[in-house]
Amino acid sequence: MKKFLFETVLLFILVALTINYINSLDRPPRVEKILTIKKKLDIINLGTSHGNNFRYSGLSIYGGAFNRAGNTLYYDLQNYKFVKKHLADSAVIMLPVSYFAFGLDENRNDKGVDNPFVNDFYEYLPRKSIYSYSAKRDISLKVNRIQKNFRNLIPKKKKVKKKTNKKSKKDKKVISFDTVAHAEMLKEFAIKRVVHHKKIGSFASPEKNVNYLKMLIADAKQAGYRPVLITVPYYKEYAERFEAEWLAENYDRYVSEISSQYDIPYLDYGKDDRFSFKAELFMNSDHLNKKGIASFNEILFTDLIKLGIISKDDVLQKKNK
Amino acid sequence: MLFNSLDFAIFLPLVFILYWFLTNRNLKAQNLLLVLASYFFYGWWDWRFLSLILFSTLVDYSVGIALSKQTDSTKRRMLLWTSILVNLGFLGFFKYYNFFLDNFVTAFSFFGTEIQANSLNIILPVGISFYTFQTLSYTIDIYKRKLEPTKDLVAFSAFVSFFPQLVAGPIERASNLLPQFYKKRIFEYSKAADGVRQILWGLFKKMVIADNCAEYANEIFNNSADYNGSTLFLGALFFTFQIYGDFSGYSDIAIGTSRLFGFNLKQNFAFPYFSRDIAEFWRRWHISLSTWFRDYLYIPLGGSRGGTWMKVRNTFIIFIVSGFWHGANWTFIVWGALNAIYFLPLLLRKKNRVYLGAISTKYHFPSLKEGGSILITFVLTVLAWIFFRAENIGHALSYFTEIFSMSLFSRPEILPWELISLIILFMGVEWLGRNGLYALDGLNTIKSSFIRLGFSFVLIIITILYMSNTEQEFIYFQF
Repeated sequence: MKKFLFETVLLFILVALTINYINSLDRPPRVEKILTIKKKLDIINLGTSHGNNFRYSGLSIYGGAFNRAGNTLYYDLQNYKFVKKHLADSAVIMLPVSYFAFGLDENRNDKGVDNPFVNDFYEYLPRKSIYSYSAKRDISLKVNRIQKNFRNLIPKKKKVKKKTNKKSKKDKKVISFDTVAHAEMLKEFAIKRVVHHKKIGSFASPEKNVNYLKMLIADAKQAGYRPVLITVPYYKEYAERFEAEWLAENYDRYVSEISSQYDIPYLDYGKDDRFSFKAELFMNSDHLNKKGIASFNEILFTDLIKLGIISKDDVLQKKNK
Repeated sequence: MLFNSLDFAIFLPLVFILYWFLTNRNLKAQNLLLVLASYFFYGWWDWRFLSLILFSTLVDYSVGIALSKQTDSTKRRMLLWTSILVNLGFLGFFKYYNFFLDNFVTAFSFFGTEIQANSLNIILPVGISFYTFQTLSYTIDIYKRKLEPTKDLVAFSAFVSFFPQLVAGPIERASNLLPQFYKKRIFEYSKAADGVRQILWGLFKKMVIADNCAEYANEIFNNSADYNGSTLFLGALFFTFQIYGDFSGYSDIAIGTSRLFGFNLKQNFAFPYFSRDIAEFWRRWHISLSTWFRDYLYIPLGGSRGGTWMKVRNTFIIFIVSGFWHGANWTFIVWGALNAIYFLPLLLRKKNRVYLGAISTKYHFPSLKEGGSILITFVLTVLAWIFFRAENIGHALSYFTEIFSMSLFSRPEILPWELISLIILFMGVEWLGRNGLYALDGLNTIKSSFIRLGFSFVLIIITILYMSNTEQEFIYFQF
């Protein structure tokens, strides 16, 4: 019996080590990013795709963006807990809260029970952090990753690229930016987008989400970090379609309550004139483009200096570069 | 509980530890543990149907004892019929009620009489066809005075519900399995290690071969109107390997699991796709069911004795009943009848027992004649499986029509080389191990445990790397 048990356990360990090795060969970029934090983080942001508006490159302080598209406040809390060990003393935690954030349920079941939203979290979060953890799903995802990584190990034939008439850089420059057409596109996009965001924004009960955000802030404050609530800039066609009553009912009251309860700053750029009317700053109705991001970060960091959250030196470094 | 599930991966080691470390000194306790584990295993799927197993167990246990005490032949016959009616009554109701009802309604409406009858929404209890046949063989053998009844209710319950083979066989005879519950089991390293290897081989067959083939077979069969003849033939080939990998894989896991607990179950598949004629195929495919029908239906009907008419009648009866056992659908009946048509020429020419021995024992490769016979038998089997897999007779016929058209010679529209390579590798290993009880049986002769362990390691890694992403139930669960 001893020999049998020894061999069985040995076989199990060998298999576990091998699959763990193959599993670690390649991971999705956002998983790799959170698993390979190199330095202590002075500033981070969480949130949904609206968190893409933050840029830390060029700052003398070290920052990291840990947002993801359509993220829920539950996983903001879990991501915060996960990166907490990498945070510098009194790090700034920027919390961009989307208009729909309080209405999402933990696992985004508005997209269907088996939606792939949580798949990434299975790759790095501990089991207890995953809402409605399913061992079956965990194994299935790991097997998929192992199989994918294994197939990537097998060299593939290089595909012969077809020659295409690519436009030269000069040709590209000739194409002018049509502001009117772009504004029209943003409007059309905003109409669809707002309908969708209002729908998902009232999918689940907000109380639980408010609580998750409160837990995050309370823990951050207790640890000496400095959380900041933010509403990122939206294009007017998007922002204005959220009526004052809707916002008051589903968003403003929670943000105001949390901000005052924990005495933390709340920066609202949602309907800021410096962005809202400028179509040329937006990629789509609620996401800034490269130019918009540069403009937003300059304003944001100036405001953060005014509030004493970061020092002038932290940003001056950026200007010097 | 599925063998290829996480639940079973936790359940099996737990029962193993309790069995060998906690209850190993007391045979009764060990048997009781097996009964409880088996009921848990079955109840995991649907606990309500445990009552059927329990009822069937109590009836057959009581009938067995009553039969041994009774000398009056009329009363003995009545007791036997009680057992048959209870077991086949359950099976008939759960499996065939709607089929007969629908066909009666159709038949009456054909003659102009409209009958109002509503089908029932009946859930088919998993494995009912297997355990009812197993318990039936017990009472029939006692009736025929071939077997002494047991007075040990726990051992009998363990025999009826033994979890490794409860839901999809092998259908064990009481004469083989029941006595094993009376004797103290002693742990044997070689038996257990070989059992683990057989489980791994079964999992490979199921998760790599069967489940990957299922994806393509389902796609092609479900959209058969969209594909050309060569693709449809390929679809039938994929189903051929799916059903073999699925069912023989289940049997391997069942036999391997039993060996972990010190039990020996009978071989259920003996490399059937290397058969040289249909008669040999049926001696190698689902052996426990074929022999059940042979002993309890074919031989009582007269077998191959008597005149030509008798032989033809008995052959058709056994094959059609065997087809019907698989499911309440005309497709299974036609599948059975088609196999009878394949088999009859051999029987009538008295050539049905030509190939009784092993295949190509002297050489690594079959002779040209042997190879040709294997190929013909295999193609006949593939074509018969089309009826087995088709939704209905119309579907099967249209599938056949497209296969036997000029489009059979066009390039298949689906050609998954990776899967085809895996099937070739799989059949290669099966060919090399064709003279053992299962393909990897020969590994027992290797003395180095390092090599044996290495082989198991490679097998597990290949299974993980190539297992299908879609979990499929075992096909035979529905039977």
